[in-house]
Amino acid sequence: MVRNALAKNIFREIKSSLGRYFAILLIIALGVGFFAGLRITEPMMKKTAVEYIDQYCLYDFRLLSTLGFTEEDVEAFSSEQGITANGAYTVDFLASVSGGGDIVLRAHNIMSDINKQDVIAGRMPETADECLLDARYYSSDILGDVVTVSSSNDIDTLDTLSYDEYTVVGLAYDPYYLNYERGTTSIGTGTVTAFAYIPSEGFSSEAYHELYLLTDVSSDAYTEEYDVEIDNYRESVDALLQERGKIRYDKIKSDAEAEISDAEKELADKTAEYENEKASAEAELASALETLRNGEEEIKSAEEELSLRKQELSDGEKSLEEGFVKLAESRDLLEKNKSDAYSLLDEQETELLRNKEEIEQGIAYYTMMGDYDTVASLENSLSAVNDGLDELSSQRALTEASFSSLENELEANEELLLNSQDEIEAGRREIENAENTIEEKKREIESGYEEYNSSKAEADAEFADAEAQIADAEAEIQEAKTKLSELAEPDLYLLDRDSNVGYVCFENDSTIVESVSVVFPMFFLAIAILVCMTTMTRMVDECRGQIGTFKALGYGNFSIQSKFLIYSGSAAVIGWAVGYFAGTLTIPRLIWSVYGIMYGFADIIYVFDPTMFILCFAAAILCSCGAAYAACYSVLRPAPATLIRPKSPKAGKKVWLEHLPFIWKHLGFLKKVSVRNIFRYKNRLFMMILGIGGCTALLITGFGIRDSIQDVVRFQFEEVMKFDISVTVSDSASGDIIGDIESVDGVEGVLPVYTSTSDLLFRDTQKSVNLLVSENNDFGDFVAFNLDGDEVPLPGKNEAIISVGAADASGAGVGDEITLRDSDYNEIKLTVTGIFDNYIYNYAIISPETYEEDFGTELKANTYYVNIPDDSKVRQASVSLIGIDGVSNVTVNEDTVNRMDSTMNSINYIVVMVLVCAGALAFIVIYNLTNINIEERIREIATIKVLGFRKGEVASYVMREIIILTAIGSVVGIPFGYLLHGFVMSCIQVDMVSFQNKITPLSYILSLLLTFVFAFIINIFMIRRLDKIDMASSLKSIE
Amino acid sequence: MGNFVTFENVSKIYDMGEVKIPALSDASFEIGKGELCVIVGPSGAGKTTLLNILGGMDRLTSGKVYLDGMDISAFDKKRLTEYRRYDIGFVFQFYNLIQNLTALENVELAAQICKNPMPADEALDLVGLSDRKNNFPAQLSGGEQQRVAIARAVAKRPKLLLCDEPTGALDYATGKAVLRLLQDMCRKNGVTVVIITHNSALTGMADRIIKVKNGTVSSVILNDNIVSVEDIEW
Repeated sequence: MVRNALAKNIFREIKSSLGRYFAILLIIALGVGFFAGLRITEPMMKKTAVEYIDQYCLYDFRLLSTLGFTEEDVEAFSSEQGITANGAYTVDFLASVSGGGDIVLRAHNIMSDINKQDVIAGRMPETADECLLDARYYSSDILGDVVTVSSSNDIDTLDTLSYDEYTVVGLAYDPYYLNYERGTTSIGTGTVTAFAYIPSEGFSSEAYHELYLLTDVSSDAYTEEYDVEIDNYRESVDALLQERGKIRYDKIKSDAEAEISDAEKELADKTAEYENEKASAEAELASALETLRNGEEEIKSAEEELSLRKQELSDGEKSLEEGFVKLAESRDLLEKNKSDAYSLLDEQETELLRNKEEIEQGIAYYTMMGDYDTVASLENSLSAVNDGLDELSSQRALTEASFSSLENELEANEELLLNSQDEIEAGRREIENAENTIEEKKREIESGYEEYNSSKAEADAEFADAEAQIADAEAEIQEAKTKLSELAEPDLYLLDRDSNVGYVCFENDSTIVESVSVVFPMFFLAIAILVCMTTMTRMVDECRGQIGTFKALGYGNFSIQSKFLIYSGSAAVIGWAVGYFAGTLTIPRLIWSVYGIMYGFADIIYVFDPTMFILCFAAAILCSCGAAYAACYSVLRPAPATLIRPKSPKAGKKVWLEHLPFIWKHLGFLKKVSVRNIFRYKNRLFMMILGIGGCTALLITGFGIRDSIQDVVRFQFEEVMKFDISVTVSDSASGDIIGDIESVDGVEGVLPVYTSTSDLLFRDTQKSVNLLVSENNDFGDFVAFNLDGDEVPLPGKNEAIISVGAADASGAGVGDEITLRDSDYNEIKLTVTGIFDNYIYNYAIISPETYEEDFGTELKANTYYVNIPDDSKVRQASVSLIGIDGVSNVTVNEDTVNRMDSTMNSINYIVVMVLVCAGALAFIVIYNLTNINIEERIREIATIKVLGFRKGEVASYVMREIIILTAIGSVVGIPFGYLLHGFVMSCIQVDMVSFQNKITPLSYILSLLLTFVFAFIINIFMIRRLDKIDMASSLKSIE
Repeated sequence: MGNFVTFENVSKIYDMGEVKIPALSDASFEIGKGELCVIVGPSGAGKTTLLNILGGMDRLTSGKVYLDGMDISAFDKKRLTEYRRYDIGFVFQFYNLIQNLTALENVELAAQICKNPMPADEALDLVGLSDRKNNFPAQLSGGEQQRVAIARAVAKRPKLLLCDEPTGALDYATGKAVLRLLQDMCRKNGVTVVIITHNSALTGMADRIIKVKNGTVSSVILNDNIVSVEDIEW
């Protein structure tokens, strides 16, 4: 029963003063929301990164060796407890993507277990000539395009990449590259533009360039536990690394030595072989020569013989001829004789025959005649004739015989002669043959000589060749030996995640958020406490009579307090719940999107922190209930009767302003009222100023952030880098290229410069800067070096001027000595003679003499800055420029401006957030205070209403105070705004951009204006409220 | 003698949603110019309501109210404000001075908005607080505060001076002094004074006595036997 009425009392109280209820609710919500939202951002950011790192297996250790690693090394590490090892290939190369200008890409192989890719478009490569490109720098339009390995890469690079072209099949993010930085390189412009991932088969390298290790450490990244657990592995990994390094060294050494000795052996063998072959060849040649010589000799003797024989032969022929002649003569003679003989014989014969005939005849006749004597005589004669014939015939026969034997002799002679002739013929033929043979032989020998000569020449050439080769081989072996002797033990590096730029930067940047998250919420917390205090005090004051009554009724202190505790507590609880979730869901997301400039690899993960949840709850309750309790405390002490009597109003006092009569007298008297009122309630005065001041400060900070950030890009490219286009040329381009550049339409002014990435070292700091050297120090029209409007003179010998960002980051100032270190680790020392304004990236300028003398190389321009005054020609000019032979890339500053502008826009969200915040703050504070103000002075206000004050006069009676307080508060807020802005800017320093802390006068004016607008809006609500005050009930007498 | 102030069948019902509270029903009376009228009645009778309506601080539900020929009941808010500004002087039971202002300034507060005010100094002199002009209410006693309130009211040279339980928070002697002052205002300065009280002893000083009971005027009596304040005892 009793409790019921109390509960009803509470509910009705809430209902009847919703404004106040919401004031508490809202301020708690705001305070909790901001506190929780900001404080949870860093853990959320960390968690997002940690999960990402975990999911995509960022390496735990990265091992480098100047001798590379082998598959055995990978296995050796993998076989260690809790470690997985992957071998990696890394190569920087010049490439043209989709036919564009040359850029530097860093290629990695896709490893099976470590540094996995988060493919956000397309797919993973399936063949060795496909690749993934950097999702941060490329959009999905590029899928299907080709990355062409530029032919201007050096031979080692070209060898390391198996293919000339890789097709882009996907875009990915990677835990190895958490932020936008891709690294520096020694080729091209000195900066890696983007990464590319290629399957391992897309590389042809004898050894892995790096080794990555993943341990079974389960702690989250960035935590101390992680560091401790990793340290547990460090020693053993390092030991193994050293061991493997030694093994590799030994192996390379022994392999090399083996190779060398093999080579030496081979060389010796081959040399021996050569010698042998040479000897045998020479022998062959010699024998061939000898053979030829012999042949020649033979020929000679043959010829001699031949000529002898010829002689012989001709002698023979001669004698033969003579013989024949003789023979002929003999024959003739013979014939003659023969014929003579025969003729004689014939004659004789004939005669005989005749005789015979005659005889015969005669016989015949005589026979007939019977002259047998005659016949007989004749017969005798005949017989004589016949004998004579016979004799003749035998003579003939003899003659024949002798002639025939003579003939035979002659014939024999003839045959002899003929034989001789034949012989001679034969001899002649033989001679002919022999001659032919000799000729042949001669030719043979000639060709033999030819062959010999050519063989010899060939042989000589081959010998020379072989000897040269041997000499080369010897030289090579010697070289190899020298190299081997120079082969140092490998430099081994054991790196962990702290050497990964993205990883470290992320930690730094999230820490920035954390530091900001400490200041802002404190502010709101303070306001929240004040608001709660004043509100509850007011409420308790109002209920004073009620409290007295309750007490008189016999309710205990606690019951009475409980009403206020529940009132404020419930408002706080709702505010806490709303604020916590609204804050933790929106603020981290907002901040994350801002950081998207640099990160943006995944959506932020919501983290619910029970501790903070409870902490906020405690704070909210403490704030509200604590205030309620404190307010009750003073009220519950006096006796009930005292409480029932109306509280004596706070005494009026003379204010300090009254002591200045020359002001005081002239103040209209209602104004005097206002002045007195203002100083009467110190609490409220203080709170109002704090609240308004805070509102103005926040507005200034918000606008200031926008001022500082938004024009940075424009300033950079309009006031500092005044040129329009930057042309990068390849190493092979000659200095004459400047003529080609100048001849492009629209170009009026070309400045050759040398740029490279260097490290600026000063004391303990190390900062990456762009080194810029112009051949003739003629920067003027192209780059302006100013500091706060004053020109900064160019550096002389061994001097340097550096950009503001570089100076701030390193701590170096004018007069300090800094060291610049290039990518080959050459260092030069310079004195800083000037610091100039610059907003994007960081620069160090040195003079050409300094460069040439200290780095020891001649200055050769690798970039040309181009001025194109007519904006309409810039686009066309850039196209023409990229077509020039030797130009490897063209960057139009306008493009950079546009790209950066759009990213800067996300900062606007933060600004809006701050402004909303400020507005909310102002509203709550002013509303609350005004409410209290009015409620406390309801009698007063009713009185003047009764007195006949018009609506406007009543309004201004109250509002005047508010306006004055707003004015004071906002003026107080200006310096705080300035400081807060400075603090916030220092927290959000981004590495590549140095924001200028700038707040335009317009921003100040806007902030003040807005503050007043907020106050004004609330005033309007308040005036309505005033109007509603019922005089009669307000002035009710306490009967 | 009447017709300076006329209440004609005035009803006032407070409408709070479900509940309607009749504070006045059918109240009618008249007051003459320069009269000192005392309105008596028990607590909750409706006296204050009556005064409030008369003083232009509240609107009636039905009926008519006239002051010096003006139909007050027909006034809108703005006109009522003007009415209060120029024609009415109010004295509350709990003084309701502005704590932040000195006595003089409190009077000036009212004087400044009138057409033909009495100088603040003069008003304070009138109530006998010449040497307390520069004190803040906190530095004044109850009676002095009330006198300041009266000075504030009369400085306006109102047609009507309305006093709601002016002596309610004061002791006997102080109360009497205040009443004397009021009487003087009426008799010497010709201000029409209406005093509300639940103390019937005060009716002796009145020219006209209006009795209010249960939200109606139960009687209007012209006092034959006007007694000076000094002679009144309670």
